[in-house]
Amino acid sequence: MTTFTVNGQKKTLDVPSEMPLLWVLRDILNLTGTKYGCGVGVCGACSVLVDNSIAVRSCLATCADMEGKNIVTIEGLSSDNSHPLQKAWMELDVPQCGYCQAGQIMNAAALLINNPKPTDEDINESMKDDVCRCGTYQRIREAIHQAAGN
Amino acid sequence: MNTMKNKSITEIQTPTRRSFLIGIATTGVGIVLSSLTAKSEVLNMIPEQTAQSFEPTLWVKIDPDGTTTITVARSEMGQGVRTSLSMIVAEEMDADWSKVKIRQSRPDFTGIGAQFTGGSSSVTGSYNNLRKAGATVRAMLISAAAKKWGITEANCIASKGVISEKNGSRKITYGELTDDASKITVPTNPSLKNVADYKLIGTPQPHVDNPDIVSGKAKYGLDVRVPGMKYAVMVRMIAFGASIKSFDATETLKIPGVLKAENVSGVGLVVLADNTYSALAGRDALKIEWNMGNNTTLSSASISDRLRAGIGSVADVPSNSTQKIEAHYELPYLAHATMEPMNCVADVRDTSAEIWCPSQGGDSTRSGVANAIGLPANSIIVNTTLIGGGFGRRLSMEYASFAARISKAFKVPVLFMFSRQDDMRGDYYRPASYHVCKGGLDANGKVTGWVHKSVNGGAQNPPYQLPSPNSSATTVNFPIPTGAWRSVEHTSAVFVNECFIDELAFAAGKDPFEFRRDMLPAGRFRTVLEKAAELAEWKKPLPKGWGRGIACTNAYSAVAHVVEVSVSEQGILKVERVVAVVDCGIAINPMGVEAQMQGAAVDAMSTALKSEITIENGQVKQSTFRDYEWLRMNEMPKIEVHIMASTQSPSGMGEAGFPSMSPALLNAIFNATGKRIRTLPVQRTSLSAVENSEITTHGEINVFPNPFHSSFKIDGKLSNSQSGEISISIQNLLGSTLLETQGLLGNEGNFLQEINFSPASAGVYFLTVKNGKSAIMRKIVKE
Repeated sequence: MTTFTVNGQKKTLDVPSEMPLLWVLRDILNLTGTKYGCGVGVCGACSVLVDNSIAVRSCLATCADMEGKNIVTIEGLSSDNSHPLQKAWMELDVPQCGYCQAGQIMNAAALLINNPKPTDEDINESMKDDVCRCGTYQRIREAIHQAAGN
Repeated sequence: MNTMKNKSITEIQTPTRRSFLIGIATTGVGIVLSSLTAKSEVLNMIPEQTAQSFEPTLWVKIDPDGTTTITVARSEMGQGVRTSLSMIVAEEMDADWSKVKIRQSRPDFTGIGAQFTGGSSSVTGSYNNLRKAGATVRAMLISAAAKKWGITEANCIASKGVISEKNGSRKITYGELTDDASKITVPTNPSLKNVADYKLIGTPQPHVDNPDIVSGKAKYGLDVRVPGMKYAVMVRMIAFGASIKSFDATETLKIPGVLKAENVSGVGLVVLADNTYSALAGRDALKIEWNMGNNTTLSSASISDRLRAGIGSVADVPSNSTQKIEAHYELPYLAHATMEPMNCVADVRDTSAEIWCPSQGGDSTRSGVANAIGLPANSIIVNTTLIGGGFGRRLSMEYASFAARISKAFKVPVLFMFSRQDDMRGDYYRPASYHVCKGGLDANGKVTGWVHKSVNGGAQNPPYQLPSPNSSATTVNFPIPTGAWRSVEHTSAVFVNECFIDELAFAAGKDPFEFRRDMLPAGRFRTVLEKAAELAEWKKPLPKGWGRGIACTNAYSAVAHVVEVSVSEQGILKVERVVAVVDCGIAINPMGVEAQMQGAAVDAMSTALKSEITIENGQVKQSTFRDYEWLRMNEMPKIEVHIMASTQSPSGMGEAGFPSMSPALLNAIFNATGKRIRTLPVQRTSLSAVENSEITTHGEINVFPNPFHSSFKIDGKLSNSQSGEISISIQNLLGSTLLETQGLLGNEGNFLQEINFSPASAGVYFLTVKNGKSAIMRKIVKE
C-alpha cells in the first residue's frame, strides 16, 4: 500500500511498489494529462510537480518513491486555467500538437517556484531536457518570461 | 467514451436542402441549420431519415444559444487545421468566433470531405468549399432576418453572429434565427466576401484546443478510456525480416496484471494486461528464441555502399563549360519520432466495431480496419482523436489494424500501443539517399549545365532558369519500410539542389544570393528571396568565425531562409540568427503560419545537425530521444518569421518551412568555415579549423581509443591544479553538455579515468577536463 496526495486528494493504492508513477497516474487514477513520451526519463513529457518544489519524471519515479508526497499534475495546476503559465501558454499559442506541453508546463512551474524571475540562461538550464518534437521552444521561452512578469 | 451524439439537436431538411446536400456532397460541402423545436417537421419532410441519422452530415450547426459548431474533416496533429479550417467557415458566415466550437468529422459523416491529412493540402484543398459553406449559411440567415422584418436582404448587415438592420435599430442573433433560417431555400451560388473585407481570416488566433491542452483535458489516442478496456503491446522483431521461432511466457504470466501472452493472427506475439506497466513488464519477461532472418549483415555502411553503387551512369554537363563542378551528397534514414507513439483503441464486437485512432485519415483507417477484421466498413465507427505529432507517420495506419485484430482475438476493448523503442524501430522511415550533382559554368560564371541524380532520394529541377536541367532518381531496394516524412522528397531534393547551387555560386565567384536571384524570373518567388536577404541584412559584414547562408524553395509555398552561424576555433557551432520569409498566399491564421515556420526550422536543424537512424545487424540502432537527438531549448535560436502580405488563395504550410532551412544552414557553415559538409548529419564531421583540435590550455591528455564506440579512457596531467577532483564533461556540436562526471586527481595533477558515453549518437564531441582554472578540451569521435 502506498499513500500520497494527488491534486489535493489523498490516494491509497494497492499496486506493485515498483510501478512507475506515470502508469499509476494514467492507468489507475485516470489522470491522462501526464504523458508517456519515452519511459526512460529523457524527454520530460511525464513531468509532475512534487512537494511544490521539484519537477519529477513520473516514468522514473516509482509508486513507492511517492509515499507521503504531495503530487500536482497538469490537471491540478489550477481548476480554471488561471495559473500564469497556463494563461501565457494559451495567449502566446505555445502548443502545436500539444502532447509534450503538460510536461513543459510542469517543469516551468517548478522553475518559477524556485526562481520567479528566470533569465534566458536559467530557462535553458531548466528546460533543456524537455523535448518538443514540434519545435515550440521559442514560444515556451516567451511564455515563461510572460508568466514570470519579465 | 461514447460516440459524440447530441440527441438534443434535430435538423430540418427541406427537399431543396436535401438535394443541395446530395448535389454538393462530391465537393465536400453539406449544410444543416438546427432548431430545437421542429423535430416533427424533420420526420414529416424526410420520412426515411431520422434526425439522428442526419446529424453526422453537419458542417455547420447553430444552436439557439448561438453556439456554432463547425465540423472539421482533417486530422489535427499540431498544424492547426481545427483552427484554420473553421476560421474560413466562420469568416464567410460572419460568425461570432468566441461562440465557435469544433467537431471532428468521422468516416461515416457523409458529404463532409476526405479526411486524408497530408501533402500540406488541408487549407488549400478546402478553402473554396469552406468559404462557400460559410457564405451559404450567412445568406440563409440574412434571408431569414429580411423576411422576418419585411425588408430587403440588402438592408441586413451580418457581423459577429448578429444581423442588424441598416438604417434601423433592429438586431437579431443567429441563434434566434435558426427556426426561420431553416425554412429558407438553400442558395446555390451565394456571394463570397471580397478578401479585403475579411475580418477574421488574417488575424492571429491561438489554437482552439489550447484550453484543453494546458489543462490536461485534451484527449490524444493514448488517453482514450473505454469501459472494460485492457492494455496491449506486441513483440517487435529483433531485426528486419526476423521471426519468432518459439517463446516461453511462464514468467510473463506470473506478473500481476498480465492476462495473456499469445500470438494474434496478422499482428504477432501480444501481451495483454490490466495496465500499461504490466503489459510492458510482461513483454520484458518473455523468453524468445529468434530466427534472425536474412538481413543480419545489413548495416548503414553496407547500405551506403549499395546506394553509391546504385547510382549508375550520370549524364555530363556540356563539354564546352569553362568549369565543371561535381559533388556527392548523402543523407541518412530519419524516424518521425512523434511525441505520442503509435497507438489505437479498438472495441471490436461480432457485427460492429468502434475505433479511436490518432491517424492522418479516419477514412483510410476505417477501410484498413475493415479489411483486417472482416467487417463491412459501414459497421465500423472511427473516431479521430487529437494527434501527438504526425509528420507523415500516421498516413500508415498498421497500428489501427493491429489494435482491431487484438480486440477481435481477445474479445475485449484494447488500447494497443508502441513503446518509444517500438516506435523508433517500427517506423516508415524517410529513406537514406545518395546524390550526384554536376554543374557547368561558362567564363562569365553563368550556368551551362545542371545534372542531379539521386538514389532513393528526391531529384527535381530547381526553380531557377537553367539550360536543360537534368534531374533523375533511381532506387535500390532495402528491407527497411519507408514512408512520407514532413516535406517528403523535398527533404533531400531541395537540400541537395540548394547546397549545390551554392557550390556553383562559389565556383563562379558570385554572391550566392545574387547568383540565385539573377536566375529567377520576377514574381512571387523572387520577391520572397529578396525579402529574406533584405531582412537578414545580407551584405552586412559579420564578425570573424561567423557565416551566413541562404536558400529558397517553392515546394508547397514560396519560402526563403537566411541563417547566420558562428563556429568556434574548436568547432562548436551556434546558430545565431534565422530569418524565414514565406509567401503562402493569404495566411488564414498568421499565428499558425508562424508556428509552422518555427517548428519546421527546428526539424530542419535537428536533422541537419544531429539526428539520424542507423542500421546495425539488420536492426535500427536508435531507441529513444537520447540517441535520436532533437534540438533542445538551449540550442534554439530565435527564428524571425516574415509572412508576405497576399490576397491570393492559400498554399500549403505544414511542410513548407522545412526544405530550404537545412541548406541555408549548411551554406552558412561553409561561409563560416570553408567546409562543405555533404553528408548529414553535420555532427559526423568536425567543423574545427584545427585538424587535431586539441585545445590544450593547461596540461596534456591522451584519449584512447579515439574514435571509440561506447567508452574510452583518459590519461593526462593538469598543470596548476589544486584540490583532489576533476570535473569531466562532454559537449556536442552545439556546445550542449551531454555528460558531466567527477574524477580523482593525483598528487602531481595526474588523472586516469574510464568514461562510458554509450547512449549518445555517433559524431564529433568535445571532452573537457577541468580543475579550478585549469582546463583541457579535446575533440573526441564516437562511432
